Amino acid sequence: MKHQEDLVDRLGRFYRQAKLEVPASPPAWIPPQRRSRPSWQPVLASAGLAAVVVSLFIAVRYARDHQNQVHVTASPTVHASVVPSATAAPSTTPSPSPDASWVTRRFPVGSVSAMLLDSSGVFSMTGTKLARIDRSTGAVTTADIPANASGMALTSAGLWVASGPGIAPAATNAQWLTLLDPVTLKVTRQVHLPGQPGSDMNAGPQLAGGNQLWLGYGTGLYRLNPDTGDQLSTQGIAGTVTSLSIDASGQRLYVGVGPSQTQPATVVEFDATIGARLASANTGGAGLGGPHVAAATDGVWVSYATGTMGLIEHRSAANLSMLGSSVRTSNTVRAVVDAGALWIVDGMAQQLTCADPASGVTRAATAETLPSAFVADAGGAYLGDNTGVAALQPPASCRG
Amino acid sequence: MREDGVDSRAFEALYVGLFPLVVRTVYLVVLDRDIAQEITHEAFLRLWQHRDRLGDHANEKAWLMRVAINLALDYRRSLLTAIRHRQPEVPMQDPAATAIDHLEREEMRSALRRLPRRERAVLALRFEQGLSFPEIGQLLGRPEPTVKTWLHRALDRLQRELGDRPAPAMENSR
Repeated sequence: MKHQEDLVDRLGRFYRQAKLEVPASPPAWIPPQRRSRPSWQPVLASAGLAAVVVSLFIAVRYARDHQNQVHVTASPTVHASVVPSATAAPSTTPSPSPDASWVTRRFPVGSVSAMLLDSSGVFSMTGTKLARIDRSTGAVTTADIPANASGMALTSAGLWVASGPGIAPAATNAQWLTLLDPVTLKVTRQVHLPGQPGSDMNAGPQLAGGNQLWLGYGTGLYRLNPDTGDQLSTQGIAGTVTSLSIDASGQRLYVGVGPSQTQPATVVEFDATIGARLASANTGGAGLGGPHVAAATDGVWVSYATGTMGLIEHRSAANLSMLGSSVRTSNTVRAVVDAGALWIVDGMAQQLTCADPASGVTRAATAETLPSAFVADAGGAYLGDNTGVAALQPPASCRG
Repeated sequence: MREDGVDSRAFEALYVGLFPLVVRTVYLVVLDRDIAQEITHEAFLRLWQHRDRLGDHANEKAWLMRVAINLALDYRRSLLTAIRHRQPEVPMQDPAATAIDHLEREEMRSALRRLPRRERAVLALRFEQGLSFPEIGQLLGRPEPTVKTWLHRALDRLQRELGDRPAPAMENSR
């Protein structure tokens, strides 16, 4: 016991000295600015771009000189193109014109945390508001939603929104599953969420919809009635659910799971028709919002923060084994699979990239200020950021 | 939504006020000055990005501390950091420190480095910041009994790492 008191004294002396080893005053705070790039990656990209331009210039000169000699009639093409990488892993290299904006119209609805769309509207969560942008007219409708809403899903009954207690202590009156009319945004039904929040403060309730309605909340995965929100079945998850994604066929459900006391963060695959667990694999994102999953036709793309960077993994539908190697991005990365492309939303790098959903090879990229969410279908693409929603016109190459 | 200017000023005040506490706590977990500053900056960046989603009555300090500690616990050395750390870190010179103090400090630093970061975090939160077990549990997202277990385990391990010997300074003072 005496030894332990001595030890604590000694530790205290160490801590008092250690205080002097770190700066007592902070460096100046410079809020992130539009187009500012916090890493050396854009510098390399710019240098690479300059090299490409110089090479093309030389090539054009060379071709023009030789045109006269060999009478070649076709003039050389001078637009740059992204050379597909030989690797199966995604390359987040910016496109030749990363600053050429894809934005066709902006809707300043507020800082967007999540988005969803159907054939007639785009839905975005902004704090305690939900905004619907009519895709034909651009008219914006807003409605209040419960605080700390984090999950959205569309079913034939309407738009479901799930909200948890956020970082406040858990309270059942703050945990709601709300059904809204997808055109008027009027609340048509509200039920209490089943279960309790998990230990990960960043993980609010998550939803996946379509013909089914799945809820991931705390350490539970719930199958709900897509019309009423009533619980049909439940099963325990070893860790806090941080994201859900169901594939286009409605056959496979992927669950991103934060760490538990006995295992690291994982991604788990379920048969969505019967709720049977098919496979699971360890991944990253522990304590940092957990892994974010995006179902693809051949498996799942998993994105997560490591603390000093972000990583993206492509995993097989067969057994969740890695397809290619993981790729570094910034901490605030989100991979989304929509409209025949993989979209990499990189908040800190302030960039949106479209890539091949099978190989991850970059197709094009654009610079955007603090992008946070993305949705797309055959009819259009929409990006959420810290000011609102932007309607995009990505280059045709994005769709493959 | 708060107006941008007010928001920025309020945030800057928060940054200046909380930076020393956050960087010190992170430093005691990662035991590397540059990494601690990098992680602290990242934590404030996240707070900045989430500022609209934290309610008016949100406890920003608790939020920030929890994010910073999680970042510190999960930190993996990036290539850039590794390049910056080609040279081993040399602790700042303290002219007043005696050779015995220095020896004791380095012995403790070395012992702490051999502890899991989670245990370093619990020790720092308890003995440097003086937080209660429920407060530590809140920060780490773990129940109070778990925190107590971790603390006892950390002290036992630290004692073993130090060779179960009293500190040199203690020996001298007896």
